[in-house]
Amino acid sequence: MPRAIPLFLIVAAAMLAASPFLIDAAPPEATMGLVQKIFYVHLPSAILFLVAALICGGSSAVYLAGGRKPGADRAAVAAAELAIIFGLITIVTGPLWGRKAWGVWWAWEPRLTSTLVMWLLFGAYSLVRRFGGPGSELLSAGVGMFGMALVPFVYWSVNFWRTLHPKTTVLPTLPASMGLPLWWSFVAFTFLFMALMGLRMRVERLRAAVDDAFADAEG
Amino acid sequence: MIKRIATTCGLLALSWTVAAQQTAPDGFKPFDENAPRETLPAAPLVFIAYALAWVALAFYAFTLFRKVSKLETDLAELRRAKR
Repeated sequence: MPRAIPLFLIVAAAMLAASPFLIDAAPPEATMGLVQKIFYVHLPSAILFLVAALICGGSSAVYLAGGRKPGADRAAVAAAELAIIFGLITIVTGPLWGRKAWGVWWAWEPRLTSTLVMWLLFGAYSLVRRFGGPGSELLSAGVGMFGMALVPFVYWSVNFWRTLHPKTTVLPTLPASMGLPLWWSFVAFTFLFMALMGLRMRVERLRAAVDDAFADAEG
Repeated sequence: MIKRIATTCGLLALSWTVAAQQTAPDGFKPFDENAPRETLPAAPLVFIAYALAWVALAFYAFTLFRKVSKLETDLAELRRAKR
């Protein structure tokens, strides 16, 4: 196993262990109060959901256009699974925040709906991959690219349409007392993301090696 | 033609009956300061959000480590069998 994976995991675990103290020290938001602290887990997971979608789509494009390199396919598969995990965290933590802040668990407004559609698309990617049979890597690569195309819509949906969700302008205006725990949490999640990405790619590499070794043993 | 008119009239009568059954509000009532209001505590929501996120990520990391370990064992066995 590459040495970077356990190193990233240790750094992420240490930073995540320290994050409750920073989050606790951050002041509660004036109108939303304590529930706004969900922001420090919701936003990093949402950003990494978009990053995973971009990696999956980019790797799929490289796979389709760049001579079917297995490395690109492995990166796309790993990123799609991470998009599902981080997307799930985003979709679950958002309504927990929204229930208190907006009074509803869910609203069919542009940001929430586009995020759900994108998440379902990566679910479709994984289903195609698992049950699609031979040639499913080409079909799933197309789905991955379509998922990547949704990223700008999800990101800018809050600025284009009238929505309950806070706009993208929230981040630059964040005071330092709230910015520190946010970026701390984001860096911790990013280290975890990189470790999980490396591990998931390793699973794919080992699966291919096992298949080859099995074919050799049979042949 | 007569059949169509009769069907339209029938549908209109049915919708009027349904609308009439719905009771209209008596009117606006002034806001009562002492009326019980929904007070949803924030702490459990924050706790659930963090717990779910961390448990999901830890579980996913655990399953990946298990898969890697199993595949490494399988690969080693296959290579040993080949020799």
